Order: sequence, then C-alpha cells, then structure tokens
Amino acid sequence: MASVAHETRASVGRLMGWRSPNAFAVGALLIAAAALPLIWRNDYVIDVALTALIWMVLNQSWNLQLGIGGIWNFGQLAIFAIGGYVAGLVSLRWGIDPWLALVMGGSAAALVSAVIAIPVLRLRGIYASLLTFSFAEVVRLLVISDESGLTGGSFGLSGIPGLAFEGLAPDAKQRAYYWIALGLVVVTAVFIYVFIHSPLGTALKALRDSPAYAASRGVSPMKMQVITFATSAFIAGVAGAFYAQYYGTISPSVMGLGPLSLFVAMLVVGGLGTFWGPMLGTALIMVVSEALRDLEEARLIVVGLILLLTIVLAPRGLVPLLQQGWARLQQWMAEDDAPEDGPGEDVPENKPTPQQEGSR
Amino acid sequence: MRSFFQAVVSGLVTGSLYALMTVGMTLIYGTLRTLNMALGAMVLVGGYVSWMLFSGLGWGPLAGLVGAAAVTFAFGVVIQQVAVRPLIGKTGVDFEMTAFISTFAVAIVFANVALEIYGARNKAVPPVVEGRLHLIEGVSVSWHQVVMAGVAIVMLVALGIFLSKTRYGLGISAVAQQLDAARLMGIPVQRVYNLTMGVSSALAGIAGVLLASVFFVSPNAGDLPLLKALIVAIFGGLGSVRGTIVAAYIIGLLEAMISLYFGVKWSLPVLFVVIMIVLLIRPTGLFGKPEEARL
Amino acid sequence: MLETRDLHAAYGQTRVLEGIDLTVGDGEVVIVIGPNGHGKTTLLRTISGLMAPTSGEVWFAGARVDGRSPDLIATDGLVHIPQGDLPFGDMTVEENLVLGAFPASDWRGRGQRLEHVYGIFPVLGERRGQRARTLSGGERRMLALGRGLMREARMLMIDEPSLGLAPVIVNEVYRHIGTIMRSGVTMLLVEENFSHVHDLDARILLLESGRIVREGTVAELEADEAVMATYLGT
Repeated sequence: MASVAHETRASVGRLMGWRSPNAFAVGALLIAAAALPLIWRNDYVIDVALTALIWMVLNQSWNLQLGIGGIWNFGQLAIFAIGGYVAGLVSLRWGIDPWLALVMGGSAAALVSAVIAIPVLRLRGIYASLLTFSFAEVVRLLVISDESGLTGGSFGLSGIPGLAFEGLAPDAKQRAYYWIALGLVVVTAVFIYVFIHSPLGTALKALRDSPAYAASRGVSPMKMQVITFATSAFIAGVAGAFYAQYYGTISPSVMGLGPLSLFVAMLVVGGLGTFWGPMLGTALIMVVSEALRDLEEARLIVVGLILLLTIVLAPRGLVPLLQQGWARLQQWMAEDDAPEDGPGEDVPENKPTPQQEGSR
Repeated sequence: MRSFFQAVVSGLVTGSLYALMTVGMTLIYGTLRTLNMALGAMVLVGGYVSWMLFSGLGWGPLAGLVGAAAVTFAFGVVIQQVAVRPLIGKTGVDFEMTAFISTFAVAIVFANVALEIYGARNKAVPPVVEGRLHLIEGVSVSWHQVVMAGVAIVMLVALGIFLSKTRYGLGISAVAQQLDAARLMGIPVQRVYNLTMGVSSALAGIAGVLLASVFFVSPNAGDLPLLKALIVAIFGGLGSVRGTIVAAYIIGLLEAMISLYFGVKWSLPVLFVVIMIVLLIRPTGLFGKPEEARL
Repeated sequence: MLETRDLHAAYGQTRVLEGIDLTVGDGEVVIVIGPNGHGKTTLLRTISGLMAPTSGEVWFAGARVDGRSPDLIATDGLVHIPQGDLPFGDMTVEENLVLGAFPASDWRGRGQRLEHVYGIFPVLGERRGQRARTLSGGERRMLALGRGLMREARMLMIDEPSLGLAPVIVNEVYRHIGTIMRSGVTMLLVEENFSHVHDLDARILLLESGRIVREGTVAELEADEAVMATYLGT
C-alpha cells in the first residue's frame, strides 16, 4: 500500500518532469552547503559560492517561467537588475530599511514584468522571446545612457547599504550573507515546488501543453500567465536586490550579453524546465567559469561552446540525462534481483520506468 | 524643415542597411524556421575581414565587400551544418527555441573569439569615398552614406532577381512555402538550406563592411545591428521578403524621426514602445503571416 | 518499374501499412482503392520518400529506394502528385509549373514543357501570372497535375485526384488523366471512390486497414457485390 502511494506520488512527479526529491540526499546536500563557510575559510571561495547561490535563485525564477509558462524570458536579467536598482535607490536616497528594500526591489520587478507580460503574451513563441530580448537590451542601453544621475549611467550605483550586519567582523558578515543566500535558494526551491503542485501550477501546465483544452475548461490563460510572470519576477527582483546589497554596487554590466550567455548556459546545461536543473547547471558553469578565471575571453568562448554542444547534443540538459541513466541503472540492478522463474509480463511495483517526456 | 529632410535621408540610408540584414533573417526563418542569432556575428566578421584586407594588404572597399561576402557565406554554411542541421527532427524539443539558442551560442563564441584575437579596441576603416553630397539647401549626406544605400539596394535587387528568376532562388522560395512539395520536385533541401544560410550571412557580412566606416570595428559590432534586425523582424513579421524590406525602411525612418524630435538617446526605447503598440494591434507583425512549424 | 516488398509504415506508435506487396510494371496503370484513413496516402508518401518505412523494401526502376531522400527519388523519375495539391501559394502559376522541371536534366527543356502543359490545360495558361493561392479548387488540381507533367516521368503517382472537387470538375480531371494514361506513362493512382475509376482500363487493388485485400480488373470487382457495398459510395 505504501509503495503504491509512493509510486503514485513519484509518477505524478515524473509526469510533470519534477522528480520528488530524495529527502536524505537533499538533507545531506543542505547540511554540506550550510557548513561550507565554516569548513573552507577562504573569503574568495565563499564569495564565489555566494554569487553562485544568487544566480541559482535567479535561474530558478527564470526556469519557473520557462518550464511552467513555456516562455523564454530573456528580459529576466533586466528584471533582476531592476530589483537591484530599486532596492539600491530606495535605501541610498530615502534610507529605507534594507530588508524592506529587498521586498520593494522584488515588487518593482514584479510590477515591471507584469506590464511587459501583456504584449509579450500576445506574441507567438519565438516572437515573445525576441520581444523580451529586445526589452532587456533597451533597458540596458537606457541605463547606460542615463545622464540624470538617477541610475548612475554605466557606472551604476554604489555604496548601497547592506543588510545591517555592520556590527559583525567581515568574515562573519560574509557568512551571514552566505547563509541568507542559501536560505533564499531553499525558500525559492520550496516555493517553486509548492507552486507547481498547486492548482495554479497544474492549470498552467495544462495550459502550456494544450491551450485549447485549458481554455475550454474556463481557465483564463492571460491572468495566470501574468501571475507567473510577476511571481518569477518577484523572485528575480529579490535576488537582484540581495545582489546589490551584498556587493554594495550594481551596474548595467550585469545585464550584458556576456552574463546572459552564462545564465542561458546554466539553464540549458542543467536542464530546462526541470526542478534541479537550474541548481545543477549554475553550479557546473560556475565551476567551469572559475577554473578558467585567468583566461578572460577564452572563458566565455568555452562557455559558449559548452552551450552550443549541449543544445545540439543534449538539448534537454543534464538532469533528464542523469534521470534516465539512474532509471536504467536501477532497472539493471532490479533485473539482478528478479526471481529465477522470471516475472513474465508483470513489472514489480517499485521498479521505475525509464523517463519518457520530462518537461520541455 | 531641413532637419526633417535630413532625417528622412538618414532614415532611408539606415533603412537600407536594416533591410540588408533582416532580409537574410526572413529567408532563414522561411526555410529553416530558425531565428539566426548569429547574423550579428556575420556583420562582425564582415567588418573585421574588410579591416584586415585594408590594414594588412591595403586593399580597398571592393575587395573588402567581396572578401567579406565570401568569408561570411562560408561561415553561414558551417553554422548551418553545426548548429542547425543536427537539431532538425529531434523529438521532444521545441526546434525554434533550440535553434535560437544554438545560433545565440555561436554568436557568443564569435564575439569572444574576435575579442581574443583582435582585442577590445576599436579598429577604424576609412569610408569608401570622402566628402558629402549636398542635395538641397542645408540637407546633405555623406558620399559614404550614398554608397551604403546604393550597395544595399543593389544587393536587395540582386537578391530579388535571384529569388524569382533563378533555379535555386525559386527553390528557396519553394522550400519556404511547401517543404514536401519542394522535395517531390527534386529540390535538394539540404543544399537549399546551405545556400540560404550562406546568402543571408553574406548579406549581413556586406552590411558589416558598409557599417565598418561608420561605427568602428569591434567585437561588439554585431550587437546593435542584431538588435535592430530583431526589432524589424518583430515589427514586420518574418513572413515575406518584401514585407521585411518595407518594415526595415519604416523602422529606419521612424528611428530618424525619433532621434530628431526626442534625441538619439531615446530612439531605441521609443522605437520599442512603438513596436509594442503595433504588436498589441497586430501580434504577427505588420506583414506577418500565421506560420505553422514544419520541421 | 515499382515494387514494394512487405512494406510497413507507421506514424509514431500508430501502424498504418501492414505489409504491402505491390508491383507496377512498365507502362501499367494500377489503381489503389480504399476508404479514408486506411493508408492510401501513406503508401504513396512511403514510396516517394516523404516518409521512411518502418520495415520492408521499395524498389523503383531497378534500384532500392526505401529510406532515400525524396528529392533523389524524384530526380530518378518518380513524380508524386500529392494529396491536397500543395501548391507554392505565393508564387505564380507559371513559377509553380517551372519548378516542376527543377532537376537539371529537365530544367533546360522547361520552356517547351511549359507550352506543352499550357496546351493540355489552357486555363493554366490564362492564369499564368496569377498567384497560386488565388486559384479555385479545380484549377489547383490542374496546376498540381500540370506541375507533375513538367518532367519526363518514369512513373506518375497521383493521390486522390477527385478530392474536394465538384463532380463536373472531377470528370474533367479524369478526362485529362485518361489522356495521360493513354500516352503510355506508368501510373499508380490512389482513390477513395470506385465510381470515378470504373471507366479506366487498369488493375485495381483494394486497400483496407493497411493491407491489400483484393485485386482484380474493374469488371471483376464490380461483379462482386460485397466489394461494391464496401467501396461504392462516398
């Protein structure tokens, strides 16, 4: 009975392409991640890890829109930046409490995203992505050419107050930021998990897979898509605000094609539309990026090549590949345990079937 | 008033260049259902080839045009084979999106290879002809601008003749309109794909040569042209070559007008807003047609 | 000229052709009759290469062609006039026809062939500058046929020439097909409806659920009441 329930839950998870996580593995991973700054007391390493965590939040939000909404929103970086700029501005100019600034950054991002969602959603697939891409570039160019002093032009904002850890020693402060970043990743992951299993998430999946059917069931596509846009933007905006507060600065360079290609690579390599994809992809690309730190342009060439190879050879990314491999491994092991007289046509309940269609 | 005419002239010149770039995008989209993000890289390559021929060998603009066209044509075919062809027919993935990303990846690689080889500093290429042509009182245009528009228009006309009068030109249109029927006529589709990518890339490369004297040659030289081409693409829809050309001129003129009345800084954002409004009314773009995915 | 051996074809998981063995000899006319959805179009598409068979062989003009690219098979002399005509909508009638002679060996003589086709279908000549998508149903059918005649065909395959046309037009289309038949071209025709073909001097194959279930001349099959009950009528 228990295994039936488990199989059902697991198969639902698999059907939606989001594997129900193995509690032990996740727990172990979390503990290891949390312990990192205590074990490896290298400021630079923690900084890189922290940055990776911020990118994970951004990529999770992006992936939410892609996997559930089915839309590649290339403007997500601009949204991230808007969160950062707003948070920076309100705390610099009006001395707003940094925690509140975080929320305000997220809200501003959500608002902007909701507004551009309207024309974007009217466009078909590729044109929608094009529009978001153009939006991002336009925002970036606007900021760069801004001479009013509001956004600081191509120099950006600096001196943004952090999250009030001023009393702590520098490395303790960094650790605090790190754990908050980790917390953000976890909270986002949990939120996304809940979201996709919620009625709204299910409805959105139905909408993505079969718009006609969804419409006939009285599901209002526009409203739900806008909610998805706004939700994922809020997350990205918060990530942007946090980024601005940790580094104390934010500038248009964070929106350029270079960072964009890094993030696209992270998403693609990890696995589009999968739960763990953004996290795995971010980690991998960050490792590659850091390993090639000294090579400057070669770094981006390598990332570009990785992206190209992945999209051509394994377009669904690593997570589905690993899932397939794992499933095949389990099948192979289970065959070993099969009784002598053979199971015939019946497949034992807890034997997973190979992955068919994950999310897009 | 004269600044108005000046803007019109300027807009027509830029419109010609936008047409040159975007028409290639339309061709590729029509046949391969791919939005080729690497076209900006082809502009980049064109600029560098002409710079190399000029600074290395002292060869003039004509050599630059021919050289750039040849090199970018070759690259176009390579990109087709490496980044697009393997994706055709792959199940379980959205072809348009994956091809978009793979060409995007190619663009990133090109830009950074250029950065690696040539460095970030801008390279200068002198204009084809110096001096200005005075049209009417207070309205003038540089000779180079005249050449730019001239070459662009000649290329567009040549393309039109190619597409409607030659065997493979008609073949390209056939593949774009009815893939199965085209195959049944014995039209070799792979060769058509290669040709389409090659021709489109060559057009972008030529645009790159023309632009090289106006904007410097740098690794980012492809970014703005690509963005403009994308804007024209969204605006006009990618349905027909003629529609794209018209859309390109409209955008060129619009941009010039916005620059005139609001300042250059605002031209891109206002353009963007205008496009968004157009899209609210006609989501497929001005001349767009509802397409069905065929690959 | 054409031979299929145990041909199987499927769309994904849906099996359509379940072991087709058929032959068409030089100069012969073979007509495949079958209800909709039973594999007629799939059969032609598999032969011309638009689809790859899941198993079995296709032999055309002495060479094995299954799995080959359709443009290569077409250049070898197989002309497949597809269901629904598939005209190049934005091109003119003349451009459509000219493309019918795309292969290099046919391209040179396209001017002559064009006049020949205009002779057979004068209405196409009248509309030569018109865009194909503005043509009426019957005109599009003529265009499809004309396009197919632009080449020296070793074998002509026509998919449901009567589809979607008014009876008067259908008669005219079949009049033309009769003329083509009499010129000695090897032909494989596919139809849903018996009534259109009962005048033709051809070998009939009945296709049902992806299999050939009966074979015979028109006279033989018309004498069989069970067959007529199934295959007569729309």
